[in-house]
Formats: sequence, structure tokens, C-alpha cells
Amino acid sequence: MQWEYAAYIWSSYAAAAVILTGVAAVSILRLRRALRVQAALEAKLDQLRSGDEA
Amino acid sequence: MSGWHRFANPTRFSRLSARILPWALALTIVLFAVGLYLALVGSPPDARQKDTVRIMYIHVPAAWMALATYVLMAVFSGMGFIWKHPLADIAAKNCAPIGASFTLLALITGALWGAPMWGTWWEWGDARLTSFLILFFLYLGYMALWQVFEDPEKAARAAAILALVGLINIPVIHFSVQWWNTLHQPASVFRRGGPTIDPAMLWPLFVMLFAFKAYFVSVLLLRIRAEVAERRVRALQMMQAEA
Amino acid sequence: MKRKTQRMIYVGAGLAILAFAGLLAFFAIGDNVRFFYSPGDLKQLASPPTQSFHLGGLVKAGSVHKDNEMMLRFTVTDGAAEVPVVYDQTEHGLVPDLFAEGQGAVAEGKLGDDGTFVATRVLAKHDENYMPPEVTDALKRSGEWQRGRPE
Repeated sequence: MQWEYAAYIWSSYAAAAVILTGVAAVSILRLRRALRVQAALEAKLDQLRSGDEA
Repeated sequence: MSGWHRFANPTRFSRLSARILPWALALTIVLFAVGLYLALVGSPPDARQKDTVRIMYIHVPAAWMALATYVLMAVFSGMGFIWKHPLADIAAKNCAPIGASFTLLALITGALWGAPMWGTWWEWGDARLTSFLILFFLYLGYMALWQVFEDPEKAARAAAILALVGLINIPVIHFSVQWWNTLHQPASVFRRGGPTIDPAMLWPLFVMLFAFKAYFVSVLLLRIRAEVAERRVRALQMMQAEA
Repeated sequence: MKRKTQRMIYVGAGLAILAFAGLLAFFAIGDNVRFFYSPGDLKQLASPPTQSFHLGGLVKAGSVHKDNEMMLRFTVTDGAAEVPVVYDQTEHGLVPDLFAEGQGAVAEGKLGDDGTFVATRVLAKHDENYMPPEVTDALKRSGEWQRGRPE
């Protein structure tokens, strides 16, 4: 594409790509980690509880 | 057991958001694909700005969403403050990083447009530019305030007050180009007498706006779910320590 | 009174006070937030600023001419008054591409004794109109082309 001011335009779209995908990626990783830790803890607590009952 | 009823709603929320999330994410991708095509290929250059008008398709939605996110954050803050609902606090808290990113993006793309068009990246004396920078600092201050307090309830209350006080900046940003002489151009879309943007540019702009909205909903839901899970983890760890 | 109602009143009263304070601040700040003076603004001042300031308005149609390749002269107008401007592009750099007759511009500099504004910087202003070149051409042909006026 023969654009005038192409560098400014591409820089804008690059900034958008970096910032938006960056925030989304961090959020997804955070959720996955939290869910993993939560599941592990719940499993452990269930184990403890069933151990108490036994 | 006393604190447990408060997690009843977040659990229901998690289930609901888990169902909405895939759709919101899919919608984000589709809208961005269409929006980017329209912005970069399917729209004409401007008579005066030439192709730099394409920066607008990022800049304007980012700026609008920066304002809308702040208002939503203040509404959640007010709800959390009045009804002491942890989910409202969590929603407000997680609006901030997304809103701050939109603000930063609007500032960066604004500078990238200003440099070739106005002949300057940044002008301190301009009311629109300065009030928008203040918005960025309000977001940062809000996020910092959450980090200051150990107790999430105290943090939520302090942060809510800042969010509500900062609300005054929103009309200032919106009307700055009307009230004062500014380098920044006046509103082109939400103005009396209708938009002054050609339909060939207005449609791509609205598609991009809805792409940003879908993105916002997706990321906010992701973050709220993450924070609900993190608080659950903390509660479980406490239970474990007690056991 | 329930605590919830009490908090609701706090928020309501707080927002009301804030809006009032904002209104006061707005009227106190008033004109100090202006980014530029228009020629009409200058005429209303008791004495023109002696320091460097921003002068903004429309570049008057047909007023741009060059003493030589780099020495630019043009007139800034807002309908109420006009100020002649001189700008040395050799010393201070080329004007932005958007700079054009009939369009908005903001110049930074000092007012000379002869009433000519000696600019050290020229910025172009864009208006609220966005349209493809074909549309402006069509408007110009039909004579409906109206140039945006600066705020």
C-alpha cells in the first residue's frame, strides 16, 4: 500500500496490537493460573475432609 | 462460615461469565477482523489528512472507551461503596487497567497523528490533551490506591472515593474542545447537528468501536473471574491454615 | 436510618459538592485555558501580550505568499479581525503539510511593533470535517463547499 505517512499509521496499529493483545494475554494467563491453584487447593481440602470423616 | 454467603453470587457470576466469554471473545475477533479490513483497506483516505485518517479508527474508539470505562468504573465503585458488594468492587478494580490501556493507546495514537498533521506530538497548553493525560493519571492513581491497603474492603472504599471524585474530569474532557480554544478539533460524531464524518469513514469507525466494546467485555469478564478465583484461593488458604 | 441509606446520601452529597466545586473552578479558570488567542481576542485586550503567545484562526484565502523560497507571509483571521504573520522556514522548519489557505492554523511567536506577528512555530489545525477527496471535489464543484471555522 502506497500510503502517505505510512510509518505513523503502522506505528499506531502496532501500538494498538501490542497494548490490546498484551492486556488480554496477561488477563488470560492470570485466570488460568488462578483457576489451576483454586482447583488444586479444593482437591486438597476435599482430601483432608474425607480423611477426617474416615 | 459467616463470610461464605458473599461468594454465592460470585460463583453464580463465574458460571454465567464462563458461558458468555467464548462468545464475547469470538465477537471481538470477528469485529476486529472486519474493522481492521475496513479501516486499512475498505475506507477512503481523507481529503486533507490523506491516509493518516486511518489512525482515527484506533484513536477515537480508544478515547471513547477510555471515557466509558471510567464512567463504568465509577458506577461500580459507587455500587460497591453503597451496597458493600465485593463483586462490584472487583468489577471496578478490574476496569482500571483496561481503561488505562485505552487511555494510553489514545494518547500514543494522538501523538502519532499530531506529529505529521499538526506539526507537534504534544502541546501542554491544550485543554483536551491535558485533561486526557489527567485521566491517565487518575487511572494510575486508582490502581495504586488498591495496592496501598492490605484489607480489600478498605482499599475498595478509598479507591471508590477517588474514582467518584475523578468523575468530574469526564465532562471536562468531553467539553474541553467546546469551552476553550484548543488545538484539538471539535467533536465530529456526537455533536449537535449530526456527524461531520463522511459515511464511508463513519461505518468503519463504528465497527471498530464495537470491536473495542466486545474486547472490553471479554477482558473485563476474564479479569473478574480471575480475581474471584484468587479471592477464593485466599479464603481456602485461610481455611487450610485454620484446619 | 439504615447504614446503606446513609452511604447513599454520602455519595449523593459528595457528587453534588464535587459538581459545584467543578463549576466554581470552571468559572475561575475561565479564559486561562485557551490554547491560542484569535485576532478578535487580541483586539479586545487592553494591551497585546508582550511575551510569546499562540495566535490562532483561519489562514485567510489568498493571503499566503513567499518573500523568497523559505520566508512565508500570511494573514490569520477570525472574521472579527486580522493579524499579518511572518514565518521564516529556514530558521524554524517547514510548516506542516496540513497548513493551507482557508484552513485553521496556530502560530507561536511575538507581536512586532508594526503589528506583524513574528512566528517561531506554525501548527496546522484540523477541523471536525472528515471526507474523501471525491466528496470535497463534488462539493467544490456544486459550490456548496464551506470551510470550517475555528472554534
